[in-house]
Amino acid sequence: MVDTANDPLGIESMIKTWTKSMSELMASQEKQGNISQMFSTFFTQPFQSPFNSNAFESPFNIMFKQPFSSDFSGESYKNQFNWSSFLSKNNLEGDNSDNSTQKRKDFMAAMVNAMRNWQKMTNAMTSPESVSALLKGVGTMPEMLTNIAQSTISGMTEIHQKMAESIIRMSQSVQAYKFDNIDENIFQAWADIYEKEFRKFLRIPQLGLTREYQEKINDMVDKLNIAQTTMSEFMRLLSLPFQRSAVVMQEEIEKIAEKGELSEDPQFYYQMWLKILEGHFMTLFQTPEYVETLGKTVESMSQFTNAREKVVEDMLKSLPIASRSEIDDVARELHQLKKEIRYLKKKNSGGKI
Amino acid sequence: MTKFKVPIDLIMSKVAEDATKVRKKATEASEVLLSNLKTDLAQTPYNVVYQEDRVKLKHYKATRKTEYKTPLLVVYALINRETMLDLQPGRSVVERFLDSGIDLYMIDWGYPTRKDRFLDFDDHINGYMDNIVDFIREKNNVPKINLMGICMGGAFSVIYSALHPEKIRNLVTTVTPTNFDTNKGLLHIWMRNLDVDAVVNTYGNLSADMMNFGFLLLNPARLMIDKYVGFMENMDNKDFVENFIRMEKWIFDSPDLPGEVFRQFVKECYQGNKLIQSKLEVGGRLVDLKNITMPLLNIYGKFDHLVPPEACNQLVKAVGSKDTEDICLNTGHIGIYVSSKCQEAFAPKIASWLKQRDEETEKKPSSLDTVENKLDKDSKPDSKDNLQAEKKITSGKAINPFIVAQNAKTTSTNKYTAKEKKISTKTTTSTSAKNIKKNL
Repeated sequence: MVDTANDPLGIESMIKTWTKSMSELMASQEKQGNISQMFSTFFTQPFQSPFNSNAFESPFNIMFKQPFSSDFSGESYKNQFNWSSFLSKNNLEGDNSDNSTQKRKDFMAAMVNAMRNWQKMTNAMTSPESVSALLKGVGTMPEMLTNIAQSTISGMTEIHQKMAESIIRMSQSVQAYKFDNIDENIFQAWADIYEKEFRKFLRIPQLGLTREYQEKINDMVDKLNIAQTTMSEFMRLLSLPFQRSAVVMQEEIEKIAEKGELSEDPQFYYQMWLKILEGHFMTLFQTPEYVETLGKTVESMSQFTNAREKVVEDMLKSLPIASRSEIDDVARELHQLKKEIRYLKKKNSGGKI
Repeated sequence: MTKFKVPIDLIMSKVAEDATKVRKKATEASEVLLSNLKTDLAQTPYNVVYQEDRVKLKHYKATRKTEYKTPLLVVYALINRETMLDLQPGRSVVERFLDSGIDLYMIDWGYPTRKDRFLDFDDHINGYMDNIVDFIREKNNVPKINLMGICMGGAFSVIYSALHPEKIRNLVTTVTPTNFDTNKGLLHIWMRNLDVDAVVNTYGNLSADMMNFGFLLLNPARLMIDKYVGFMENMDNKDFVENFIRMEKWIFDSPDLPGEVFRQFVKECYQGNKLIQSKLEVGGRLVDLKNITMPLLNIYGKFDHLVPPEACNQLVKAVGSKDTEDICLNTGHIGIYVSSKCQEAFAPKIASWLKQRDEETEKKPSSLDTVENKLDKDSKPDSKDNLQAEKKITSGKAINPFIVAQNAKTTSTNKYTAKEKKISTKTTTSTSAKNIKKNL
């Protein structure tokens, strides 16, 4: 029975089944004396005596050495893993000496053993127990997917809720030249949800040889998401004066119309709109909300650029191109040297430093 | 709800009428745009007489006999280019200076690249600027030169004059921010909250595109919409198109700003406001404004949205000089240099102010150089920015429509008339043009 709480993917169960199968395999091989033969052929013989040339000239030693030898001419280079070519080249075939016959026998025995082992392992993996464990492990995948989906759905629901609230607010009357309660903030809502629900997936620790690179790429994607959100919020703020100017224009035109002073000149309305728009911009630009969003936008764009630079620098390492930080280091040293030269020059000429 | 009649039919007929006009205008505009437009900047001839790294020193060829003993070095900001002072023949501060007989030098800071990211205030002021000043002194065999700074270049000039007062005869600062403790300009508000370390550590230099976008955001309605609507409306006017393209070229011909300069400017100035308090350190030395004992002329714009008057008008009080003059012109940050009407007030004023002090070794200046005596009294502001101020001043019967406030002080009173003494004692703080006239 797979314990899904402690072993969500069923890996532990699978390993247990395989271990059991392998033990059975080892026991059956031991009975036939194949294990000892296999080990002696695979490992023991080459290391029996390092000074024994026969030991070094074992089929496996030759087999692994030959493809990487410096002989890049002829057939061995064209077809490095042509075993018959190796066998004949290394005098493993057609040589009737006892030594050669023994080598050939050992090699063939090792090959047969290896094939049998592979067959047993395959059998073990396809045994009903293994398949069952694997299926149980796979069965836990939907749970993981459900977790991801839950995060996504709850985030999306929250966004929709915020959007609905914003639409309600937008339909309400807009106060001209007032930006005190800029709370139709759908992008900020997305930023909050992103940070709460989605960001954690990009922060899953990476493993292995390429973990550093992968983490930098994840960081770049994370910073890009944040930068795009803050930029969208910034652009939204910039659109507010247009939105509010339109409402104020309506009100103004209504007032003029009531007085019966409506102009026939489109230029009149354009100038009126422009003045209203300018006034809204000037008011908006002085609000703490705008200043804060501007600061956040600049900061998030800087952070994204920084993260992107790190990824690009990693890529540049494999190319014959100097990276930006390397050039910066040279510039910094050059700057320091020039400063010192200037100081010394002025000191020598008796000038004020 | 009250029902009212909107004359939709009339508006639509007007739109249709306009559409016909637009079609005609578009045909003419295409002819203008396809013609040979003269949009080159910086046409006044000059020689590059000194170069260090990317920094060049321009020496303008005199158009008449030099009438000043002391050469003038103009230090432009590291933001945008010095070509703004020489937009086109007939609309050039450089040309006006040369016509006044000034021996004129100007620093071209060039285009900083990635390798320049570590250059800070010290490298620019005690390095490039000091070497250039020494070069001019040696070339002209003079112990001191006149220094004129523009915007950030003005802040550099103030710092330089405080650190090397023995090399500067007169200091002129124009639209120069020295006091950053104000909420009047949006830049001041934004910069105070900027994480400059994140920007500089990431990008190295501050890119010109980022800066330009920031400047456009200062007034998007005007700078990103109305400006181009205006262009569309005047596309059939060749002169307008040429001037417009010249300005576009200048605005978007922007070098990157060296990262460390940006970091220092934001941290030490915008966030720390150290310059005006004499707490700023450059190259390990304290920038004490009381060391500025040479004559100082400080000019700024009333409608400057980048460097508001509040950021400029504290300087004269902070320096140690006894001969200072503070002039607030009725224009914006760029209008001072590019508006042809403003140039009439601006360049000749500086030239005459320098001329007086150039001759002071022979005789003391006989009067405070009141701008209104030098200017065309009929001149009027020519930009939209100036309209509002113009109304205010004309209602107060201003002596010159461009001068909003003027403040002068001097203690060398023995040579001055009683009337001038009255000005110097009464106008220690900024006064309106109306008050100045009353005093006079």
